[in-house]
Amino acid sequence: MDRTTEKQLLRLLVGELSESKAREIRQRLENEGELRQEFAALQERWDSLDLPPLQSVHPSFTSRVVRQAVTGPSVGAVGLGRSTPLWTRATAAVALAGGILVGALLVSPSESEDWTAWDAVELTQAEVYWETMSVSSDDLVQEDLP
Amino acid sequence: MGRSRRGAGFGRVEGFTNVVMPNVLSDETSVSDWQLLSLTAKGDEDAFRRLVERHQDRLVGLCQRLLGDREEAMDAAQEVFLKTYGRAGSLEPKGELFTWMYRVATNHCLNRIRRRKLAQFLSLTPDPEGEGANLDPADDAPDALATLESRRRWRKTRQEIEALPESQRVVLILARFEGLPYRQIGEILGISEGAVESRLFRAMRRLQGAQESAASGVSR
Repeated sequence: MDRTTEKQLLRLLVGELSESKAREIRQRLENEGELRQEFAALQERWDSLDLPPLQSVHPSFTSRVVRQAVTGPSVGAVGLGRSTPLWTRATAAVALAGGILVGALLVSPSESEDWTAWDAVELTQAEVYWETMSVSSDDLVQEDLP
Repeated sequence: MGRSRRGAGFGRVEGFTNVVMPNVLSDETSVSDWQLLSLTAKGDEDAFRRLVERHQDRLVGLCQRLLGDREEAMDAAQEVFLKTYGRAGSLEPKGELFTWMYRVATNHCLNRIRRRKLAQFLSLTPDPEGEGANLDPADDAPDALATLESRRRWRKTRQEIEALPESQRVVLILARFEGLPYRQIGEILGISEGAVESRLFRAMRRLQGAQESAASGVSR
C-alpha cells in the first residue's frame, strides 16, 4: 500500500478528511479487502492506546494558583533568577568562588594532619595484622609437620 | 475508549474587549478567555480565578499525560497559569488563548522531561518513567481484575509512548488523548499541518513495529 493511502486512512481515523473524501475512502474500504484489513489494524492500534482517565483538580489548586499569582513568589522561593541584574549574579558568583577558596585554604592543614594521623594508624594496624598473620602461619606450618 | 474529537471545549475567539462591564462575569458562557485576561490585567482577581477554573482540568490533564506524574503535572500547570497571569497585560489577543496556554504547557513539560533525563543521567539513577508513572485508577474501578487489566494497559501504552521520539510523542498525545485537530496541534507546536500529519504517521508506524516485534517475541 502506498504512503498516500496510508495517510488518508489515518486522516479518516482521526476525522481530518473532508466529507467527500471520507465518502470516497469508505467506498474503497467496502470494495478492497486489503485496504479494509489495513484500516481495521490501524483502528485497533489507535484504540489500544489507553491512559488513566483524568480526575478533576481539587478546588484548593485554584485557590493556591490565584494566591500565588496575586501575592507573587513566596519569600522562600526568592532566588537569583533571570530577572536579577547581571552584576548581582556576577558578584554572587565571585563571592561564592572566593568563599570556596578561603574555605579550602582554612580546611586543608587540618585535613592534612588528619590524613597523616590516619596513615600512622593504618601502618600500625597493618603491622599488627601482619605480625598476627605471620604467627598464625607459622603455627599452622608447625602443626602440619609430622 | 473513544476520543473526544472536535467540540473539545475550545472557546471561540471573540476579540479583545477593553470595555469593562460591571456584570461581565455574571454570564459565564458569554465571557471569552481574552476578556477574562483583560480583566485580570486590570487587577480583577476573580476574573483570573474564573480563567483558572475554566482550564485547570484540561491543562493539568495535558501535563499529566506528557509527564506521567500527577503531582508534577499540577506543579507544571500552576507555572503555566502564573506565566499567563504575568503576561496578562502584554499578550496580543490573537487566536485562542488556550492554544497559547497549551503551547506554554507543552514546552514547559518537555523542558521538565529533558531536565529529568539529564538529572537521571548525572545521578545514574534508574528512569522512573513508565515504572513510576502514576497509574492509579479512579476510585470507581468496578473490580480488582478490571483494575489490574486497566493498569496493565496503561503501563503498556505509557511505555510505547515513551519509546517514541519526543516530536512524535507530543503529536500523538495531542491527537489521541487531547483530541485536537491537525491545525490546532500545528499552532501549539509551531509547525505546519503537514508536519503534524507526518509525525503522527511515523508515530503510528513505530507503534505498529513495536507491537509486531512484541507479538513475535511472545510467540517464540
